[in-house]
Amino acid sequence: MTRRALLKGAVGAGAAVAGGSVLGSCGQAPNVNRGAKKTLNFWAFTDTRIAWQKKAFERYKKEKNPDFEINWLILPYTQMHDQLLITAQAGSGGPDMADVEISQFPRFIKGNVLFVDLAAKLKQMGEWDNLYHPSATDPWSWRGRTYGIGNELNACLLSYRHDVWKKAKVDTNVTTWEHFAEEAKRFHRDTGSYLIDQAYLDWSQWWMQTLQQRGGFFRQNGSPALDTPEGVRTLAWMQNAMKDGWSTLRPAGQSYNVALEQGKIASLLGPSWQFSGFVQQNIPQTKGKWHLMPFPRWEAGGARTATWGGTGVTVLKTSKYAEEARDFVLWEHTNSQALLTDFGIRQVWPTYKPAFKDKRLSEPLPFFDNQRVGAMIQAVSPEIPTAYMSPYWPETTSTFVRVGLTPPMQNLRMAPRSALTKAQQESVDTINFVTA
Amino acid sequence: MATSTLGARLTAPLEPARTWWWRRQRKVSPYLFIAPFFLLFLVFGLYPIIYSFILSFTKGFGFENRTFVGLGNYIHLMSDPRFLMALRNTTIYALGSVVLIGGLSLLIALAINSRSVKWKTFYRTAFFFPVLTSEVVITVIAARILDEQFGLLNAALGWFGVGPFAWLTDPKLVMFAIVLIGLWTWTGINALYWMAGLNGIDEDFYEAAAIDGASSWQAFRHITMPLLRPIALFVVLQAIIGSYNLFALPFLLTNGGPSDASLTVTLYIYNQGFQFFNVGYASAIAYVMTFFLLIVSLVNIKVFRGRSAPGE
Repeated sequence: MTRRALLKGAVGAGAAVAGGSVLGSCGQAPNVNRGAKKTLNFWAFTDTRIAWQKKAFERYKKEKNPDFEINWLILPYTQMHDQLLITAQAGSGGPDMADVEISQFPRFIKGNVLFVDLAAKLKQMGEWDNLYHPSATDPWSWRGRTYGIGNELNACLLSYRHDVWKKAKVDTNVTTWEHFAEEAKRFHRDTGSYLIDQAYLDWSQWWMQTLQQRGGFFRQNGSPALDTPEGVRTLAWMQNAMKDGWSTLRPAGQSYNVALEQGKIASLLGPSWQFSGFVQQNIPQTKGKWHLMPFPRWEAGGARTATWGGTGVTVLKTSKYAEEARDFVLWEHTNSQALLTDFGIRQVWPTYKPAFKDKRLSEPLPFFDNQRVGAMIQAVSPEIPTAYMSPYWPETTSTFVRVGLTPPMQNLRMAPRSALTKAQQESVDTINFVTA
Repeated sequence: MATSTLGARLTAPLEPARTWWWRRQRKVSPYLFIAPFFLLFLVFGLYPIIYSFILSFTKGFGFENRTFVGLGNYIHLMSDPRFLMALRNTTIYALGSVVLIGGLSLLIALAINSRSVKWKTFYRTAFFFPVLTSEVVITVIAARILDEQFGLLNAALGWFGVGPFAWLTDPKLVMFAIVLIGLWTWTGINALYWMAGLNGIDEDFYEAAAIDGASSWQAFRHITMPLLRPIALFVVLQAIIGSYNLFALPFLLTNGGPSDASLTVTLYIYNQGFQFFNVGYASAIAYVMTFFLLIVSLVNIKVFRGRSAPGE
């Protein structure tokens, strides 16, 4: 018996047990007993993300009358991705479709890619150009192929406490990061609070501000690109904010929520899952006190936004019904009515451009003091720079934070360039150790 | 005689068939009963152990298309600063566990075991309680307690004019904080081990010592401590092995940060194996740690069994 065969058997049995127990708990019969209609399996790691897809499938059944049903199985985040990887490697026992979070995707493109390419069909459908690619397809693309599609338009904006800014007379027309720093200095001098904090234990802030300048973690060929001029400039800006005393290191845990709630930190950067999700969930009492604006630019004509995060739907190569799965996944991501369901559930703006014709996406939002957030997102989204993916995402991002970001932010005498050069070298060494 | 003849007649026709089946069944059935365990152990225990040993001599991503590199992973490991950092951090935790948890739990056991203490069952339950709590819950609670601005610990220290400290983000403090959480979690169960040992000491030894005019300290030093040596061996070994397996707490609390200041060996194995998919190197680290723990355990056994206790 080969190892692959052994894995197949073990994984098949494991998945049957796991699937059986979950289905059993839902009171559903196993799909094999349901009659002639075939059943496709969808694995996800959160029920909120597949709520709209369930509704989309109901619509799909009415409009397309497919000859299959879908079993929706939710597993914990890490477990789902681990099991997906194992079943895909083993060749059986896994789902037909799965949600894959952006930072997990690189694990699936090390060696043989385990997903079906979606690009050709999207182009054939005439929908390729209707998508905001940096959020819809780029995070799941590798070497010219697209292995997943996301419906969340992760255009980043600057969220700010307009009540706090107004009281301190901060200029709401800040146009550049330099201008922002000047306002932040004055704000700190007058109030003792901080206009923005510096994320130093994760890559989020550096990533958004660097990507905004068309930098990022990787070059087009997937090799690390940490010590680029854009990366050094961002880190220097973050470090200078600390040196000049007008910013603070991001407080950990609950302290951060409290600081935002009290206006001690008066702004944050991020996409809709941050300002619509994180903020509304953790500090709902700040309803009506937030406004959004595009990022200040780094230079004239530069981008006013970036992208961060996302989860894409993939179709597994091991699926018996890959064609059916692919057709449904692409349909739900290119159907305005289906996508609007997710806006209703999670306040997520879609990556599908034609959906923005619907006025509901641009309606005034009470949480943001009745700002028309959708219109702003639509305005900046064409400016989202391309983000290159790589199989070495985990090695590079973890080395970046550990060597390139945290040390110079904790030790302000450390030069940003030398920290990033060291991180770049270590990333390359780590990759070379396995691949050379 | 008549009875035995009757008995022989009654049993004689059945004997050949029953004997064959009965004997075979009696020989085979015990093995059938224990077979599931061994089958599962073979597939999920022995096979991964052997396969990971083979993997430790290879490199490449995942489990397919691997290249044999001989001792390459092991040689790289010896000069890998991240592994050395993880080993250092884990050793700090292990020393903290052995010295602080071991010592404090012994003191608690001695106190609870004292005749003057009432409500012994309550204390035993109270000290045992953290062991029943999931590590995830402990981590969530600990994160709140250790919060720099709103944490209970800094608030308490503030009353004495000390702090505040960035327990989880200062590289110099983070391992100390993790040892503190370990202290809270594991002291109770270790106190129970010590108490089991103390209850097993014959009172006659203490009576004889009292008649000979020994002080409490002398009784403790010359009777209690030597007779607790087997428990001490157990407590120390368990603390060391448990410490070098420390994973959930730093994973959930700090993810090994800041800048690897709380990276542990098992967390590093997880990073290499599951995040980087570098399973060959992860296997090599696991085997080095197995060998390391084997040596440490043997040294401990040698040290604690070095001298025989009174009465042995």
